[in-house]
Amino acid sequence: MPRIKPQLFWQGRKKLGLNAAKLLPVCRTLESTANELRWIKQHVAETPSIIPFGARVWKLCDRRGKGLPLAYVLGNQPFGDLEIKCQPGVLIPRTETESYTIHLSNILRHSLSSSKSESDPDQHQPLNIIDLCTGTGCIPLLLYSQLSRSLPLQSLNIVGVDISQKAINLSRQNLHHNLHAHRFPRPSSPRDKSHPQRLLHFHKADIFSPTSLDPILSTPSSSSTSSSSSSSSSSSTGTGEWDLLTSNPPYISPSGFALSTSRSVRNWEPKLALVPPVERVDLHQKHFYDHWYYPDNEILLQTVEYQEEDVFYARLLEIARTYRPKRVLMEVGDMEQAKRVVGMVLGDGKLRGLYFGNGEVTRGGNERGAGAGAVQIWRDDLVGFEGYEEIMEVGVGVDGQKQIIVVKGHPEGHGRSVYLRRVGVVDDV
Amino acid sequence: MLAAPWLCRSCAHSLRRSGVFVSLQLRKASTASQPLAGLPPVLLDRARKLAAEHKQLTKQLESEYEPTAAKRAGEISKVVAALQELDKAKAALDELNGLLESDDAELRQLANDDLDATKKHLETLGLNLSATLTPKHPFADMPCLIELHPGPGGTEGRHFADTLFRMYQRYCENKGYSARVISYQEAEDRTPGLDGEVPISEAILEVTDPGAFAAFRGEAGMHRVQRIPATEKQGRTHTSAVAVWVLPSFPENSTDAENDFNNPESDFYVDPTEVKSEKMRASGAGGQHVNKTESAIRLTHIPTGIQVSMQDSRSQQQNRERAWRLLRSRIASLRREQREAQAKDLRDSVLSQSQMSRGDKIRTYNYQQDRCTDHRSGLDVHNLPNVLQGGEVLDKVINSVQSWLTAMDIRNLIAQEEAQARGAVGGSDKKKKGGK
Repeated sequence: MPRIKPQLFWQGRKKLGLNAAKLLPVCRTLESTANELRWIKQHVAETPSIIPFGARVWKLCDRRGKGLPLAYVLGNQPFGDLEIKCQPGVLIPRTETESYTIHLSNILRHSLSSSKSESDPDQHQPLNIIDLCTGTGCIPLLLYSQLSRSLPLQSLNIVGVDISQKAINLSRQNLHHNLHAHRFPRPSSPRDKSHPQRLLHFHKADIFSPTSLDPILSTPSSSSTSSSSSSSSSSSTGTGEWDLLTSNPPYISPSGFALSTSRSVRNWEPKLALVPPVERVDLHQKHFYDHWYYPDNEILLQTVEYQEEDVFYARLLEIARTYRPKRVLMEVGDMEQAKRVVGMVLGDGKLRGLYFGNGEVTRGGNERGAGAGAVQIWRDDLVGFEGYEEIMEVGVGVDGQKQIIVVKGHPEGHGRSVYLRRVGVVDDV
Repeated sequence: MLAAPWLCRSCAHSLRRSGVFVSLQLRKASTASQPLAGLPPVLLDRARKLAAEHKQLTKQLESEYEPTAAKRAGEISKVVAALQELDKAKAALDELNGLLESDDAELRQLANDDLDATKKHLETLGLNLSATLTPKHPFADMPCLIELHPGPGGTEGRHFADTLFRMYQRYCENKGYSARVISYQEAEDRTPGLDGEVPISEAILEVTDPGAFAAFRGEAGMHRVQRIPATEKQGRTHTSAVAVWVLPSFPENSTDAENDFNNPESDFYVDPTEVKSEKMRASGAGGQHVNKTESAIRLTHIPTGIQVSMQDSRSQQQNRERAWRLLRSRIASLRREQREAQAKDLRDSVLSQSQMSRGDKIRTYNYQQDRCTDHRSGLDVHNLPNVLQGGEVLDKVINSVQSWLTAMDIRNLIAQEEAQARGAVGGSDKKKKGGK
């Protein structure tokens, strides 16, 4: 990291006051120091306290100056039109996540409103969405907020799952926090039969443990009737499918964690949410052999060898194979990882059949022969740049042939997520 | 308080003889005298002209049918009808006035009863006529963005930009418009000005009511201030300026807006491939690897070079939305200006330079003389504090500009039509699309 010029310190002190000198080592430029100082002051002005204004600002600047992420210092982070509370121990929502979540909700809105106008309105059938590794609950909450506003008559059933009790507590707090601020309508209680029925729940479960995850996954429309996920009542129709599976799993390799993460991430954010633990890799591979080692599943065995930072994707794709959600969105670290995940999808016969079909891709139109599946990579900066599309060849296939997939988003953005759409499902953007 | 600085009689006399005073008064005349039913004289002139044209056209049509003439006659028949009604009402009013002077007490009583109703009727008819005549600005129904940029001139202009910003905010409050701050950029040096002014480098206020653009479009231009700045040690008066831009914007979440954004015909259409978005993108892998707080968004529209940057909010999403809105508004207003310039070329031969462009100073706020002068309508008002509080005096000024703008629009329209007519006579049948 280049040294900060001393000149900048006295400039900052002169123009922005003493606090600036504290923030400058973290913010590095005067502009960003001025912004952060303004946000800290705003925060202090908005939250009443008996401690004098100046003292609080000084305290917060001090903590921020020690490298603590601003979201932990202020205790919240804007996410779409929501305010998400943040606590040490739970990953801070990123702007990239915000961007694709909004794009995703637009896709759901357009495809639902267009299909509804054609066929009879079947809005009693809820839109089932599950988010694995939910953290602060930012993705389910933003989807809930956006969808309940844009589709006011649609029933929703949104579930967030995380392994950490701290994250689950925080996500429930976030639900209530945004509810009190009237940012979205109150979810209906399971006994409440009013229409539309909107459900939003958070469950603690380890996604690698089938015993705790399967009850949540198996019956999307009834899993919410009991908050304890162990007793899955099969009273209501279990025919529901998951319309969307999202996940922002840990995806940084141990070496990447040491090298490519910024200091405030490395020192302050939970490693649990960033780096897939090694023991989990072993566990998963064992699980893979136990469950999938059939003679007819040999293709699968070839792809079991993945890099350790991709272990969550292997598990997510396994879930996708079993539960066949209509759409899947997984955040990834960069374009290389995105390609590897796409390779995992295309290398698996069943997933390939589910989400890729015969793999026809035509440039420009979203809809090549309505109902064809889609395997797409999305870059950062989707919102506002929906027009950008490029074609990419991915090397891995069943027969080793090159496959063509679509990459969306501004060409300067990093590869950020992999989007799968089941054959027979139509997106209408 | 006196309406003008005191002048000794002999000076006034000599001024009058030299003609200065006369010209000053003449300049005021366009707004000060409103002879009939609150109608500006230009409007009435135009209505009469159109009526004459209509008469001629109908005569022509009686002898032989011609589609273009018939179409034209149809277009202006509305105006003619409105004018006829107005004339009728006026005749009735005259008659009533005549009756008022009659000897019969009973008749006078009756006439008196009728007078008020007739006057009111006349007013509505006048409004009717002006509505049919006044060309409507295509953005008139939209909400607007008011952008303030201090001119060159150091801290003083920046201080005054803050005052103007607060003036518009309060004006909106007083008028019941809903306004919100889109961007408020404090300048880097933070010397306080008069009455706790903060130097700002840019500020944007959005007025979200539909029709706000029509209400505020007269505010666009250079606002000049003459006062002794807080930083001035020797008591000299400084003159500095603040540029105000008024841009049309779209109401949020309206389906109209979405249609318009995606419609290449619309002024608000921006091709996303022509926009370069600068973010702190270059460094690092992003995502979980970093937790940057940098939420600034910079958008550059490559063909026009328009650049927009937003960094007020912690939410990048919000910054991006605002930046796109601002970019769209600026581009739309640029396109509109270009079209107006084209239309102006067309009529330039007819009309002298009376068009106000963005660079001309439109208003002066003089603190020493407690005076605010609008240079277009020629209105001089005192009680500057009330103006800066966005009170009724400011409302008066803005209204005077409104009527000036209307008169200008009509005059331009007439000139344009004349130019077109001459062009048609000249043999070229090419009809250029008018900007209005």
